Amino acid sequence: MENNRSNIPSISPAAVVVAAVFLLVSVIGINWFTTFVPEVLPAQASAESKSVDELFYILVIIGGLVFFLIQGMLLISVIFFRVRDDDRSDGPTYHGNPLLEVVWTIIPALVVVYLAVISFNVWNQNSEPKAAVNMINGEETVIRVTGARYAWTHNYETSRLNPEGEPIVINSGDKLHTYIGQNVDLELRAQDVIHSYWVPAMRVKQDLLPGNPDTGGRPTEIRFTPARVEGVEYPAEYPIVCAELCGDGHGRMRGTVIVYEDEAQFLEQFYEPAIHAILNPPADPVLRGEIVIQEYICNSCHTLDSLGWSSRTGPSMNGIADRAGERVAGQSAEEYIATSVWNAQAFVVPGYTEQMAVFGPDQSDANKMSAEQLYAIVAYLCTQGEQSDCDNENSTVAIPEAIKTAFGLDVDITFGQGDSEAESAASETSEEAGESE
Amino acid sequence: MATQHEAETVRRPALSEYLRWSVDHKIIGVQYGVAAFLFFMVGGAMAMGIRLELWTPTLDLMASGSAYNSLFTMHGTVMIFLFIIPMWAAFGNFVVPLQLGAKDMAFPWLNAFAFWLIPPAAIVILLGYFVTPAEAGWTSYPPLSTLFSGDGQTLWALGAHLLGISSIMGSINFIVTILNMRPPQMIIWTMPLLCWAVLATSIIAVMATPFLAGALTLLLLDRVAGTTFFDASGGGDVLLWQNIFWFYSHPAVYIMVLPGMGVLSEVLSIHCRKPVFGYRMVGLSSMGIAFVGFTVWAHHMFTSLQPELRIPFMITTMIIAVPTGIKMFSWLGTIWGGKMRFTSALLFALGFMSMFVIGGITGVMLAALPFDIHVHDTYFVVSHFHFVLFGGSVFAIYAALYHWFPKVTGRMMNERLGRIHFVFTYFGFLFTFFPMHIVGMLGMPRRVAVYDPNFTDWNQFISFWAFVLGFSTFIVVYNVIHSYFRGPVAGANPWRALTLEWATTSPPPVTNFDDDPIPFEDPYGYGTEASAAYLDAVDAAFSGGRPTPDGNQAD
Amino acid sequence: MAELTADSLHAVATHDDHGHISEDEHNSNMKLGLWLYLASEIVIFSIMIVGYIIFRINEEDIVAQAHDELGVALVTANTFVLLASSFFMVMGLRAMQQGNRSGMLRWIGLTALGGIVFLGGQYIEYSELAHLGIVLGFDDASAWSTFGMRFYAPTFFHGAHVFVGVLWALEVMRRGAKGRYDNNPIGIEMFGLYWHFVDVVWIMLFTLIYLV
Repeated sequence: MENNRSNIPSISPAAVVVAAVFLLVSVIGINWFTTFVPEVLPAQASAESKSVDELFYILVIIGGLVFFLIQGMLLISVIFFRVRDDDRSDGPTYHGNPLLEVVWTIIPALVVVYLAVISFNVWNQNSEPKAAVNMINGEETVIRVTGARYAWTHNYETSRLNPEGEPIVINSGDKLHTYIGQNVDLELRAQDVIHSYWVPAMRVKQDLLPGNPDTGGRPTEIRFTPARVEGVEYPAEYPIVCAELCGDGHGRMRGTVIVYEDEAQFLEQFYEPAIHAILNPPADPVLRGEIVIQEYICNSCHTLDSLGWSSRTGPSMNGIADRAGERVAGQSAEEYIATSVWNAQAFVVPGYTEQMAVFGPDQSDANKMSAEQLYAIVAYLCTQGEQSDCDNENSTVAIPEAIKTAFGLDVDITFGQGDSEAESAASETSEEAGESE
Repeated sequence: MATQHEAETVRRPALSEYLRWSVDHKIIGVQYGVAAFLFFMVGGAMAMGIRLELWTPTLDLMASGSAYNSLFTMHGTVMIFLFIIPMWAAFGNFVVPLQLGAKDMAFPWLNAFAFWLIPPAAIVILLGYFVTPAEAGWTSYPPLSTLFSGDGQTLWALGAHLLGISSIMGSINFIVTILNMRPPQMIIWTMPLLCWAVLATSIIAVMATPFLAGALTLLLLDRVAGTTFFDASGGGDVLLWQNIFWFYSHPAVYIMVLPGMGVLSEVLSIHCRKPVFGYRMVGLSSMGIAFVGFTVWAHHMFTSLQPELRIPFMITTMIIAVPTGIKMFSWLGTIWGGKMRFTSALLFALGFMSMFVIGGITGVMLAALPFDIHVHDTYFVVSHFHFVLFGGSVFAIYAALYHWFPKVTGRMMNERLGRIHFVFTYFGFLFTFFPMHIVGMLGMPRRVAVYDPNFTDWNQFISFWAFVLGFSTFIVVYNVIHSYFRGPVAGANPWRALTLEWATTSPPPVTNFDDDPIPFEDPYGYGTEASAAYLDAVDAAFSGGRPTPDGNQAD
Repeated sequence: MAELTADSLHAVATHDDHGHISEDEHNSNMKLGLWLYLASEIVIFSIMIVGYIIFRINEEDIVAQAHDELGVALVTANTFVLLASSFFMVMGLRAMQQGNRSGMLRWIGLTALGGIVFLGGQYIEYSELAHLGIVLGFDDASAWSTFGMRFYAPTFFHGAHVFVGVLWALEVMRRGAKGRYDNNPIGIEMFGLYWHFVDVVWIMLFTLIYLV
């Protein structure tokens, strides 16, 4: 295309005025919007969030300039270059201006180079591995997070040992406990489909990828350091959100980060009580069951009013004990409940689909369940109903061979023989941990 | 299809011709267009359902989360595969051969076949909605789409496969037509910019769509033949799908936007009576976008990719802003100092510029890796891609509709209704999608029916304006139907445009041109005496919408 | 513009009854179209080939074991047959270009025969492998099962192309017998392009799966 420079359109003084007004509007507008930035982002609850927000601030300024430039030029054109519909004349035959074209190629190119550089710096700074992660009492701790449809499970592999000399694992369910300044480094694993662990207040997100369970899955990592937010009372709570579509209950798949003010508060309010509770489980299997059932992700699909669960993916567990005895011919209520927890596919309640996973000692991560835990859960669920079908008092329940095999039980579950004998049957293997009751 | 010189060729095709197999590119174009618009209505109704469900933070309209999931899965699939891509095939089919002065596409039979693959594909996909619907989103990430989905997912994959084949066939046809069938006077540098855009789009489609075909084949094998390409417990890899899928689907974004950019160059130049500013750069930037578009796919996987691989994709993604910026500035240069006539077509073209720039800016923001990590898979992203695909593609589709409707039907559309339609669409769109940026940043993930009750007010605001936007569609539907029957007769060249599609009757005869037309030396050379003479000659040749008796266009 | 009358163009644009384009233009359209089609085919094959390469890198043991079991003799013979059929193909086209219709029919017939023999060989090979326990689906118990799908997917996909090629060859023979190609052998040339493509893909698969 040849250039026809003689026809450069002249710009009226009025257009210059409008341009000036628009420059002013854009400066005021961007300035206004940047003051608005804290309103459109969650609290800056991590060290990372500050640098990310600064980057966003720069992006908004540059983006705002482009925005006002283009909208302004559009508006000026609309006002000044409009002609009446019956005007049949043509505009100037102006084919372009190579210099201008070079300018508007080079300048955006420089801008994106600049943005790439500052983004790279922020990224580098935030993703640099930190020394001394997950420090609790001066020792590093492994925190494993499992995403399973539709709940998070956090496991703290502590350095404390139980009486058998094994490290104590604290299962804090869908809650991550941390404190200001702790370098959190989570090991993420997906149990079934892809999930994404997102803490908006920390500006971090990482997908959880299902891997081969035989080779330890496909762990991914997420790092952040909680920071102090002014005017917040501690412990502060921030939501954890699943950001990758995972099915029916994706919107409900949420958790909470609980940030304590300092390590002392963390130890006092979370860590030590949790260790204590593990070392001293309640003797009553029902009470123990109430704790154990909340360590699993049953709430992600089931309703149970006593615990405030309201999900509707799976059948409701309200009044389960009233129905359990009649579900499957030849199965007592206890057998039915135990079977349903272990292998839900054995009987699918009409109207629901086969979604529930298998639980047992040989399952991985969030689905790992010991015989004692199964026993406690059954005992607890047996209390959910008006006239329980379960015979909780002094009865031994014949457990199907399949469950015995799966859980390594050699005797049947026995209920309600008083506190001291509670561990006589199923819990024999490792119940010594609870001897202090 | 004998050569016809007589005036009877000006008659409009009977409506029944549109329901039959036809190898005439103009009939096929309308078939594509009407079918795509019907799917737009279906997908739009689904969007309304989505916004109704999101009125409250709990699940109330839908029976389950799965029902909601399958609704937005269908919305995305219908809008992308059955609306936008076929809609551009519609305009490409109708306009491109005319702009090239050709009698038809290079492969008329293949053209018809590509179109007729769409109805069965649509039936298969929509049928899936009534069995156990696909609920893994239009991206269908395994293992959700393999191990945890019902038969609807299989049907979804089969339907998408058919649509992919249709798209490849259509694109091969476009490339061959554009490269081989230009009149001898038209070199590639005097080709109308819509043809440039369709050429770039078709190159992308031919190179990228097979990736979709390959990925879908593996997905189907995983689903029905028990293979484990995407299943880690059987030695597969879940990210393999994401890589192949986005290697298609990111370029597919440009498949959906580039023709709109071509339309914009046409409409702005014609309705502002000024040559396209920097023609070469506009044409080359289409190619630039097409090629850089192949190097950015993994920015869709910023939260799943190995961290050290993320940086290169951030850089390539940012680079793609440069050719896009060239286009935006060239359009501004085109309208600057022009003689703007506020036709509905121009309004929508300006609306495109005004909205697409927001999509472009948020695109660069999303490319900035640390910020993307925060807003990845949130409503910020939903907003971004609607600014690109609605604020971009749909506005351009409307501009193209108002611009070429006279050529297709021989009637003008109602401009007053067009303006009302524009106002409703512009503000409905802006207020629906702009606030989504904010809810996304605040912490609302996409694809959820149950959300944090703190966002209820935002969502009700968004839903209200979404209903306004939904309503605006009925205005254009009424306008099209009304204008088809009652609109004023258009004449050959109502916009006094220089490209060749206007140098024949409206609608064109079966053979398009009664003779081999000679294009004006510069497709956008408005404002010269030569171009005015050319346009006057065209007007004289087709006065009254009929060709001159001797069949020649002018003298 | 006064020079809108387009007399100068009439010589180029001889209207025929279909597609309104000249034979040359038709030929060049067909060739460009087929090249573009083959380009898209290459992409699909490369997805499967890359999938196989990644598997090879990750699971060297399984692939090594598979190499011991795969019958290379049969496949080598098969490869030779396919290569020969490509040669027949060229001879067929040459015969037609020399105006020798019956010669063309013989050579193209041989080409089709080559394709059929190849498919038969593939069938025999598949049945042998099935006996060895190499199956398509994933089977926890079999160490082969992850190899199977990565082996069958590309080879079967290629086999399907050979099958289509055989059908195409028969159609070329049917049309050729009626004299369709006497003046313009573009149809044979198109088939030839496709057949050579199938051949080249096989050489890549053969090298990658059986030899390396």
